[in-house]
Order: sequence, then structure tokens, then C-alpha cells
Amino acid sequence: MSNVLSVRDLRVSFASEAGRVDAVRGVSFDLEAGRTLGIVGESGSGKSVTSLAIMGLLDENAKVTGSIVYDGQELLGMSDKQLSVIRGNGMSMIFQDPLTSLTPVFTIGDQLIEALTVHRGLSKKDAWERSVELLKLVGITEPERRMKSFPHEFSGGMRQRVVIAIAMANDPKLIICDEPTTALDVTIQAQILDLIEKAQLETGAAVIMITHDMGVVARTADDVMVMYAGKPVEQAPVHELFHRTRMPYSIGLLGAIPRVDKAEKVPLTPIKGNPPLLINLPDACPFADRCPIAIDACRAGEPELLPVATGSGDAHRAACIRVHEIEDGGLINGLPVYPVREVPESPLTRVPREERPITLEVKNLTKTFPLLKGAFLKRKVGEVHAIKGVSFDVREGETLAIVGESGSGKTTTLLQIMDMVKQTEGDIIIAGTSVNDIRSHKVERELRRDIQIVFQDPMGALDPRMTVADIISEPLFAIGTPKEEAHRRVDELMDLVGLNPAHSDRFPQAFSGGQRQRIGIARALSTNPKIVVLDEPVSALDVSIQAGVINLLDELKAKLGLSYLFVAHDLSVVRHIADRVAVMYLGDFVEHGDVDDVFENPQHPYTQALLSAIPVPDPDIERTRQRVIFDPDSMTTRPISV
Amino acid sequence: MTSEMIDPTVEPATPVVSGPETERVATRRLSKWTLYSRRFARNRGALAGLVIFVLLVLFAIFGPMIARYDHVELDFLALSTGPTAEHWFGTNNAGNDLFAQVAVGLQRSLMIAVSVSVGVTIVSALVGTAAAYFGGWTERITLLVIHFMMVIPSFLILAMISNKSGGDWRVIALIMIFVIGWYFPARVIWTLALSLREREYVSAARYMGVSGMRIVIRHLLPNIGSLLVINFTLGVVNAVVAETGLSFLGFGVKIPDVSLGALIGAGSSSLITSPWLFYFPAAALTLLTVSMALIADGLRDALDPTSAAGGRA
Repeated sequence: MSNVLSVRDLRVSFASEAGRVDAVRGVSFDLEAGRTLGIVGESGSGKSVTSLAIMGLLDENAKVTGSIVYDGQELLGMSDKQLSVIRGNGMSMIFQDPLTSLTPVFTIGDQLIEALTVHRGLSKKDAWERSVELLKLVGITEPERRMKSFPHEFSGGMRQRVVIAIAMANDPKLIICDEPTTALDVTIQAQILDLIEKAQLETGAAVIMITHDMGVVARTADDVMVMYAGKPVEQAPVHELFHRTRMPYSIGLLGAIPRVDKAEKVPLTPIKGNPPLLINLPDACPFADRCPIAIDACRAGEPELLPVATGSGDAHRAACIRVHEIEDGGLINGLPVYPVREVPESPLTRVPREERPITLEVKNLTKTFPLLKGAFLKRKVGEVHAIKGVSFDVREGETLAIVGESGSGKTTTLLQIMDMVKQTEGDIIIAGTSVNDIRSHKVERELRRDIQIVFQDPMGALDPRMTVADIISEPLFAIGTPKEEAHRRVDELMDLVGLNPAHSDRFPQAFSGGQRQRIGIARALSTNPKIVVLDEPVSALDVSIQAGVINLLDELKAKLGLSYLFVAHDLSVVRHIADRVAVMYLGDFVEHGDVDDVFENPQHPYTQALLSAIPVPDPDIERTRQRVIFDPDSMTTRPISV
Repeated sequence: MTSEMIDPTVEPATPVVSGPETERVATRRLSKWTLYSRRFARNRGALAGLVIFVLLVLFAIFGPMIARYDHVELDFLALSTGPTAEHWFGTNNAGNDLFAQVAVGLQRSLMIAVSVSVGVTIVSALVGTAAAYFGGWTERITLLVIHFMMVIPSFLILAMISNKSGGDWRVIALIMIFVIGWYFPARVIWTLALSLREREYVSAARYMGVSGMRIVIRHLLPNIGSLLVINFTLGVVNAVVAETGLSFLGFGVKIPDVSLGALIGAGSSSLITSPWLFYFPAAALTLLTVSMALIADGLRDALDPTSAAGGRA
């Protein structure tokens, strides 16, 4: 088979205030028609820049060298005009955010027809017919009618389907997918991945799948390239990479992901530290500072990406000088590359659940939004039920996770509790005090001491104009703690969450994402709360960083006897961290119980579909298991069909 | 302002990835102020503006001291003479030394402009952010007042009251703050603070039990700081221009007190016979407004990473 795309020693650098940023430092690969290359890496690893360089969509201040040969033509050095003949015609791209990749002021039909007529010179009528055909192909019902709809009339998943239809429009030879499902719910993600596979079969195109999700790679890719600090560090066929991993970074990445299909709670292996800044990199292995098995020779020169013999006969290349010592299963000389940590155990776990005190009790929580009509004088014409009478309790030393997709009402539930909204029919009882009894601000402030929150976005939750010490001590001053004591407590807390107390006079910008989330956790713990509400605390973090934060949460729970109310959409994380789980669908709990019961033996069809949609980071399991999807009309599941 | 949380120096490395991904490499960054001053200094125009402004301030402070005559002193031996070694900027038809008058006038104009701009910035920032944060009735009433202020002929009111006060500059400054100055910036700040109100760190503070006014002062105001700095600089220009207009029409500062506007007003009547009476104060005014505008422009580029100069090396 001939190569559709052949990249050799691709290098991209940008000029910046602090110096030259080397975003991509020597990427080479070949891609045949009909095959899928998965590029995995954390943010800043250069995977997106690589794809943009191939598409020729980089900014003018980017310096690109090397060679990109597509279909026999050298792309580097082509003018934008020459490139646009190729872009969209032979090469197409699916971006992460379907909201911004469609123009809001044109109908879906117009955009599809434009894609067809620009490159093909089809007549309006032919283009229309082909567009309807494409929409049908990507599973949009009533395509004739939908042609006249605007992007905002579609849901996120539907929009991504339209984007795929546009990408398929001109029988591309290469489809580049840049995190195509990151912005979508997990059940939609599964459908979109199936659809991309279908588009590939239909057009015979080669696909580059860029993602940070090992599960997505396990499911879709034929070959995998792991990138770190702008360079590929391991390149191999998918089974080879997952089963005979050789590069310590890839081993760490795989060990850092919680598994939805594993019950026992093994602590995750976080990779310590942060990726290096891509400015003036020394001639050393860029991973050496984070690598648990680094030796002096690692810092003497950057290792090349060299072939490794793993005994399977597959082409496998890795950039590590100790690669020959590493064995299957992430072992070196019989010991794991990443030392296993002890699982912290709390004395509370031995006390039966019924005997532990209740820290948060919610009875019949209801929230409705009024539907208003009228331009000037608004009158109420109905109600939307965002939460329909939800009841649960959280006991000391326990984690309750509420899972659900976007719009299920899980965040609204949290906000009702945090806002301490008085309930007419139900009740919210925090550490023994009912919110219906709050009569003054003083009582409310006292109660806030017992319940604290950690937000999703570690960037947005910390005031950028305050030092870390000020941020952590803010809740203490709010409840009137004397200054001396607050300062002592700040040092104590920073120690507790694994930050250096000497850094307390810095601003949050000086910290990485994972460290910022630790600051957020320290702030939440400052008042010694009984219950901590965690609103998607790790979903904005990279996997290697995420693992560290999850371990910290586990540890803190055991050490301090905390209760967590955990809201998440990532079921793998929930499986790992939660004791009990509640599945929320359309404002109501459809299933609620012990985490292993729910995950092993889901009763409600919605839970079954949700669980079956999660990709497992193991290509053997992932490609053989049977998946089901949920049909909201009949409230049953059915096997998938795209 | 989100953009400042992301290190602009590393932004180009990952141009399409979403927010949380860009902070990845931000562990070693230039200090914010080094970055701002470096960007400001790279802007030649802004630097020139700063130099001109400093020279003008020095002139306003030390000019009256080095002048040979006091600005109210009359030299009957030199009526309406052009610039000479005795009178550097010439004299007017009553024998006032124009050099002394321009220096004192500039001093007066600067005092009005700076105090008005400080006042306007404080009032508008507090009103705008408080309205946005507290919402509900506070917000509705504040907006009602702002919109009412927008439709009344405020310049006319200013002219009337200032005339009645006998041209006292302090009265003029107060009216300029409370009658014309505050409401427009307040409305701009309100819209900005609306988005800040939804930030998680504001919710976080509220969930900690921090009181409302404290959230406004500790969280909202510092985060629109760069906008306030720019507003202040542009406010100086606006105030100088407004005061000049007022004095030119004869409603502003009255003799024996002088301001640039009053001098320009007096000079414009004898433009043909003694042009120096017009050109010297007019040049001082132009230099002042142009330098402030250049500084504001430079500050905006330096503080706002999304502007044309931002992010580039």
C-alpha cells in the first residue's frame, strides 16, 4: 500500500517573549490509506501543533521545517492558496469543539453545499442531493428538513455529526481528528467514534486521531505514537504498545488512568512533576526529571527514537536508554517501574456504614425553573423540573458520587446544597443543622464552616490577584480566625496537600494545573469541614496530574475522616474514588447504591448504556466487548447501530 | 480578565487547545510587572508620551519658580510683546508674563484633570462592580440612575453651576466627577463585572461566607485593575478637554486664576495680532492630551495580551 502521508523530521517553533518555544521537535511517521494513527500526549506535548502543521493552519509566526509529503506532493513551502485546494478536498479536519467549527449564520445545508461546490464544481442541485445523502449517512434523521436548520438548532453530538459529514464530503484521503470527542458526553463520544470509523470505511481514508484519552486510542488506532515535550517517545502498533510498553512515560500514562472495569482499589501511579518548558531545552532526556528510573546517563544526552526488540516481531520504537532492561507489564529487573504506594486505610472503614454519623442528608430536593412568556410583563406559563425530588445521605468517611451527563441536573443539585436553598417540601441537613432553620447570616456563616467546595477549573477558582496564602486563609478570616493562627494553618495545610509552604507568597499563576487544584483543596480544608463537595475536581487536569490529585483525595479522606460529595461525568474516576454512587438522569436518580453493585450489575438501562459507552484502555477488551445504547422513548437498551 | 492568568509567553506553543491546557508550562514565567514594563517600553510612542508627560509635569511644578514674573504681575513696559529674553513666551495686552501664565495654567489644568480622573475612577469602579455583584434591586436602581444621567444635558448643568460658583476649580472638579464623569465608565465596568461575578473564585468566596462588600473590594476590583488604569489615563484627557472647553466658553476658571482653557480662550481673540498668546497654551494643551493618549494606548497594549502587540516577541 502506498503512503497517503509521510512526515519526516517535522519541527515547529514559535517566537515568544521568553525565547524560542520548540513546540514540535522532530516528528516522523508514515500513514497508509485506511489506517489510523493515534497520537497521544498530554497538553503541551505538541500533538495539536503537529496536526495544524500538516494542515498548514499555523500562525505566521510559526517556523516549520522538515518535510510533509501528502499524496506525492510536498506541502511545506506551498502558498496558502495552493494549500486550500488540498485542504477540504483531500485532507479534512474534525476539531474538538463542534460549537465553533460551524459558522452560526449559515444553515447546515449551505455549509455542506459550500464544501462540495468549492472543490468539485458540482451544480447546486447535485450538491444538495449529495448533502442530503451525507447527512443520512452520519445518522441525522429527516435530512431534507435539517438541511435548512442552523447550527444552534443542533445538540453538540449532532453538530459533530455534521462536521464529520462536511469532512467526508469530498472523499478525503486523510482525516485529521483533533480531540473530536473531548467536549462531548460519554455516550455521545462512543457514537461519534463509531461514526468516524464508518466514515473511514466509507471513504477509505487514513485517519490521524489526536487525543489524550488512552481508551479512545485503544479503541480506534492501528498505530500509536506517544508524544512528550514535542517529540515522539514511543511508536508502535496498538496491541504492542498497550501490552509491551517500554518507555517509562507511556507506562506511567497507562498506570495513571483509573479503570472502569476493575473493582479493587489500587492506588494510581501519578507521574511526579510537570512537563518541561519548551524553551532552551538542554540536551538530556526531557522526561528524566520525572522518571523514577532515571540514571546519570539520561541527563547526558537526549535519547533517539530507536527500534526495540520485544519478541513480538512488530515494529516498535522507543526513546529511552534503559529500554532493554524494561520488561512487559512495566517491570524493571522484576520490580515495577513506578513504585507501588500503600493504600491508606481509615479506621472508619471498619465501622459499618449504618453506625457512622450522617454528615449530609438531603430529603426530597426539588428545583424548578419557571417558564416565562411575554416581552415586557413576564408571566409564568409553566415549570421546568431541573431536580425532581432527590433524596440521599452521606455518612462520615464516605464518598458519594453523583454521575450523569450534561443537563442531568447534577450541578444544579450541588448548587442547591451550596446555596443552602430553603426547601418547601424537602430538607437539606448539613452536619445536623437543617437549612430550613437558618434565621440569620451568623448561623449561615457558622454552617458554612462544615461544608466546603472544590471547583472543577483550577484556574478559575483561584483569584489571580491574590497570593496563595491569602487564598487559603480567606475562609479562615471569613469565620473570624485571628491572623497568627490563620498563618500557622496555611503552612500546615500546604504541607498536607503536598505543596511547599515556602511558596505561599506566590500567585496562583506560578503553579501548574495540578498544584492549583491542590491549593483549591487546601482552601476547602482550612476550616476543618465535615463534608467537602467536589465538583468535577479532576476533569480539567491531564491524566498524569489527575492521578496525583485523586490519590491525595483518597489520602485526605482516610487521614481526616472526611465525607465527599463528588460530582463527575467520568465513570472511571468515580469507580476509583467513590464508595456509593447515584446515577442521575433528567433530574432524578435512576440508580443509587454501592459502587461495586452498580458497576458490576447495573439494573437501570440508562446505567447499562452509560457504562458500556466508556472506552477501556486495553485494545483487546475494547474491541471485543458488546456495547448497548439507551433509547429514551422506550426506556430500554438496544445494541448499537450507527 | 482571563487572559492574564495564562502566561502569554507560552501561549503560542499550543494555539488551539483549550484553556486548562495552556497553563501547563507556566511554572517558570516572567513576573507580571517585568512583562508589562517590557511591553510598554517596546512601544516607542508610549515611551515618548511618558517622557513628554514627565517634562510637562516638571514644567508645571518648576515653571512658576524659574519665571521672572508672577502670573498676576503686570509689566507695563512690555504690553503685547512677542517672545523676548525678558518675557520668554511674550506678554498679553495687560502686561502679564505668558510663561508664568502657561506654567500656572498647566498646573491648574493638571490638578483638575487628575483629581477628576481619580474621583471618576473610584466612583465608577465601586458603583459598577457593586451593582453587578449584588444584582437584583441594587442593580436595577443603579442602572436606572445611570440611564437617567445619560439623557440629561450634563454639560449645560456644569456650565451653569460653575458660573454661579465664580469659577472655583474645586467646584468644577466636583461637578465634573458627579455630574458628567462617573456614569459612562460605571456602565462599562458593570458589564465587565457581570462576567467576573460568574467566576468560580467569586462563588468560592461566597460559599466560604465572605461578606458581599468584601468580595467586591477583594475579588472584583483588583481583577478589573488594568481596565481602571487605562480608564484613569483616558479620564485625564477627557477632563482636560472638558475643562478647556468650559474655560474657553467663559464658564470655567476665572481671573485671577488661570487655566489652559482660559488662556486659549483669551489668546484666540487676538490670533492675528499677537499669535503667541494662542500658540503657547495651545501647544501645552496638545502635548498634554497627546502624551496621555499615547500612554493610555501603550498601557492597553501592555496589559491586554489579546491586543495587536500582545504575545509577540
